[in-house]
Amino acid sequence: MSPLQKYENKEVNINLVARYEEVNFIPLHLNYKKALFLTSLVWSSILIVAYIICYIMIPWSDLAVRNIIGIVLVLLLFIISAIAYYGYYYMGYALRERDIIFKKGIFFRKTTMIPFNRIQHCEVKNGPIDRMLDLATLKIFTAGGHSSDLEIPGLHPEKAQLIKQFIIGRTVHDEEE
Amino acid sequence: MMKKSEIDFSSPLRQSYVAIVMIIYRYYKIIIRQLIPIFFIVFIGGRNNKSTYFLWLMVGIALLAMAIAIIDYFRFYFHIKDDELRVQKGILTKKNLSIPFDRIQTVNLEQNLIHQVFNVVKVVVDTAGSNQNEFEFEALGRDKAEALRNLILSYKSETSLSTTPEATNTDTEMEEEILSIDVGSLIKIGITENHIRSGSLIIIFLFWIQESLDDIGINVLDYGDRLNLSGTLTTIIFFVIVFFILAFFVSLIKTVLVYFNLKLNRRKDGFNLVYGLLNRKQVAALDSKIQMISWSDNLLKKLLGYHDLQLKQASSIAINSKKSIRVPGCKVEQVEQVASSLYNNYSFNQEAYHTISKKYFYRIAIYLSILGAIALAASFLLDAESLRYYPIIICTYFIITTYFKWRKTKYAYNQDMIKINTGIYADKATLIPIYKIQAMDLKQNLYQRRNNLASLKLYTASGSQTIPYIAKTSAQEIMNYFTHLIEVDKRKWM
Repeated sequence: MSPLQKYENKEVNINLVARYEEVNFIPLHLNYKKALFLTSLVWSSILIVAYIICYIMIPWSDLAVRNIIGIVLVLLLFIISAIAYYGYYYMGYALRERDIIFKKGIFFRKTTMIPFNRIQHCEVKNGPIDRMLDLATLKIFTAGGHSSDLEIPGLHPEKAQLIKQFIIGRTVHDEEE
Repeated sequence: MMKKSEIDFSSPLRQSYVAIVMIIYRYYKIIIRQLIPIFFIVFIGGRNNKSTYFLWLMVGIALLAMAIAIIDYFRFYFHIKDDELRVQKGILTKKNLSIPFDRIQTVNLEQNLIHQVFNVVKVVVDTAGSNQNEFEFEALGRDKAEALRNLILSYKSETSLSTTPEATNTDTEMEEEILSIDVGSLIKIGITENHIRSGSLIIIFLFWIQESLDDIGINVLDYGDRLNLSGTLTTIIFFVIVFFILAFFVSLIKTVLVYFNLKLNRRKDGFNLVYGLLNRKQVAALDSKIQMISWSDNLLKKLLGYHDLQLKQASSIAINSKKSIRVPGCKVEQVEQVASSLYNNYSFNQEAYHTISKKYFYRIAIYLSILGAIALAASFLLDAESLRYYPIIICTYFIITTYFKWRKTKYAYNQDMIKINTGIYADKATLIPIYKIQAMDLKQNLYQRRNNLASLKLYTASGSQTIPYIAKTSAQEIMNYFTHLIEVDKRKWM
């Protein structure tokens, strides 16, 4: 007997299927806004330092070009930082009995759905900015390769641990059933 | 038949003596690959006394490598204990390796010419997890290799099915042939291969030669200039024709060598594939490891009714093409035979197929037109009259291919399977059992949001598939439905 034949195939009532659109997404921790801002600040300062080095080192033949590049750079960084900052309002996660859902993106919106019985393992990570703001990132790994691994940033460390324990509990529960 | 599995693996065993030859061969291959540029310099470049010293040095290195290979061989032992494959090896330090059977994905057998002469087999043990993804026996006697393989594979199906060991131990007798390709059809298959792909291989090869020659100071392009090859139309056409003929023969010969005497067999709980002339391979794919199958044709294959079948297996580290088993030259019946032995409920009638939104075509067509218009404007501005037609031709071509792709992209699903059809000139179909899906993404860009559309990406353990530009509500419906199916399904995806 192959496992395929043993599996019985019941009809599914489409009306009984849970709808993910109806769940309430939980926003991330407010400190995560600051984290987003700080992250873009770090990248911006790296770029600005690079610009300053160019400003000094390169013998500019046209000073107008030099200044325009500077102004455009600062404007661009401002816009990108603002977008990153407002990205907070578009992120959210939802835990259900059997899966976890995460959405993000202002222009390119993405909703990821991972059933608990497909999760390989999960871990809680906090980097330097996370630690400064008392935040943590929950990483969820599936067998679907790197691009399907889910990262939920901006969680309170305790909450991240709690969710992790919940997920592990659910996967064990699934296996015992 | 049963005698085979009675080989005693409990005490340490060595590989076949032929392994020494194989180890030496492997070492020499590495050394020669490293030394090719020096080779060129010494034997082609300068003709002085140094070349004799170099020759002696080479002999020295060769002898040393040989000695190391022999030590390597005699220090290598393996045995089986507690459902683990244990290996002891190492030239200076002793390394102990133990591979639990349940970590082993598959066991594949390979034979190159030397193996075939001595009737020994190279055994590739493919493991999941750790970065040491593969483990190889250079050469084992045929009986030993097959006994080892059956031992491991029967252990695997035993644990995954929890049936009695007797039922699964009867090995090769149970095999049922699905496909066997004779030389005549193989040549036909070779003719219908993708010659553009082998053409690109030739180009890469030529670049590699040019680079190696550059390394030793021979500039190929200089020679070209001296030969006075002017870029007239006739020379270009001549080279294109030569190139195509070359590409044609390369892919034809490659197909015949690689897939010579191909046999696809159905085992009890998997497939067995044997193929190759110079390097004969025996590959096993267990049903539980196969995450999806796909088959495709091209314009030439369509005429002869051939399909390229791919069985995509799970790999937990990285998704590489090595894990995907390719069976060229399947007729529709064989594709159906494979699909029906894997899945119950896989066929869909015409009405079951959903198309994707026409906006998919519009959007790409608009972008391409804008791009083409910019290129055209630039050619006018730069007064480059000869370049004027290229943007029009290229953009029109891609708009047409996008149109074809839009027309061909279709999907259908039921409570077991999803099937995605796509292709431009070719037709490609992919079948994924829903319970093998690992995660799903619903994506929307600005344009899709304005038009209430979405793209759905399905991740499996052997790659992902996207259904682009469908109505947002249907994408949500699929996501909800599939999530439900995955969550109530108790089957192991691997």
